[in-house]
Amino acid sequence: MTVDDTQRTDTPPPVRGDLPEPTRMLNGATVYRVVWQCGTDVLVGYCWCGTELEATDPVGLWQ
Amino acid sequence: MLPLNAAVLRLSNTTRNPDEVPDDVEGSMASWPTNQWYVAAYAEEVTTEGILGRTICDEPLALFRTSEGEVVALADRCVHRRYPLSHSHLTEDKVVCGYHGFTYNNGGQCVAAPAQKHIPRTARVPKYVVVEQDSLVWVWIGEAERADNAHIPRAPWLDQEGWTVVRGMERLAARYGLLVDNLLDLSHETYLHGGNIGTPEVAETPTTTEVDEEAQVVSVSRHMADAGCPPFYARSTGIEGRITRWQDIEYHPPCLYLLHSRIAPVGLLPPDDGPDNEAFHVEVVYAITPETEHSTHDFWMVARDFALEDEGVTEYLQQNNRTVVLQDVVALDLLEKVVEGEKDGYQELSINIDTGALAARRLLARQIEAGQAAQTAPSVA
Repeated sequence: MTVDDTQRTDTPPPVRGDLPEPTRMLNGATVYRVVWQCGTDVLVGYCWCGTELEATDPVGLWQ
Repeated sequence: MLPLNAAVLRLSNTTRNPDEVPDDVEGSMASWPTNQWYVAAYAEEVTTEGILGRTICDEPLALFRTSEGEVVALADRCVHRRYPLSHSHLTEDKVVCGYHGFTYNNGGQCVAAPAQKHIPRTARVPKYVVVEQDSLVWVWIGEAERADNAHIPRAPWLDQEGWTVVRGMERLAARYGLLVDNLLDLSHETYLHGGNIGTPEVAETPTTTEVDEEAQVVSVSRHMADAGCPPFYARSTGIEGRITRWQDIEYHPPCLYLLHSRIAPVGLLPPDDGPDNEAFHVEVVYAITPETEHSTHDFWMVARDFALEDEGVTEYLQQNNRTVVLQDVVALDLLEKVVEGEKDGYQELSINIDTGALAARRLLARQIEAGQAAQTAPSVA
């Protein structure tokens, strides 16, 4: 990781790419899932309610 | 809701002896969740032969086993002149205080005092709710009437046929949140434990993180399809060459951490049906138990389903796992000093590798919030 905070702010919104099938460990009804896209800094969050969100900042993703 | 970092990684400005209760903590809420189960000891540590003294979440306990096999945990303080009961002795399942002989039954009631005809009814020490399960002694820290054994997370491999276990316990001069951070982000293996269990692939492989809000579980999964075999596993499994290595973390905050580890020759995946008996499985278990605000009991256990009777492998894993744990101890003790010396308002930087640790902090913060209204003192049984 060579990107500092300042550069992070200037990072353009991530572009959604093909994701590998995420490993699924938990099978409850209220599971949040965050998949780190291979070869990128993109995190894709899946809410149990069906919404999806992309981010490059894990703190923001959990908030 | 508490700020994400405030509850678990509370900052302060002075370096302290971890044995001292800091002034700014007295009278404030603890940085760990109450009304929760914590591992207090290994079952084998609690015997009929003596009394084990151990502080759990700032509460000094005296643990012993009755002749019928029941584990008992009493407050480690005689009602008379405060003498630690853990420095006393057992006689016929009763604790006889080593200072003036006040004698307590396994319910904590004083039943005898020197030359005293009438024992005051108030002469009793608090008794804690304890459960012995999976070779661990769990203690409930919080309101006794809310204790529910069904909520204790399981680690069956520790006490099950078909598994061989090595284990130990180290005391960290560091807050428990630092160990949670450490274990939820295994990319540190590459750097802190390089040459032991770390290889470049651990830090290079992206993870999938899951949180079950209702069950209060965090999972971090890292599956390495083609990875170097660290000496640790090469020596213990006999695998030569590269491996398919899976690390599936399952953290049950606040105390129990499980790492389901699968090691197999590269490309060997579990069969669609039938047992996965061509792979090697290691179940790494940690119990993360706060001792004080600035110290932690680091219980570590490693169960394996191979080379069950091989004493050489057992000894190798015992020594080398302890080496790895001690590398963490050195690092986390150092980190504690850094955190304590920080100026107020210092902010850390989190990146993708921290996704699981952040999820754990979030659940812990919620548990702390839920326990804040609770009384931390145990009810007298």
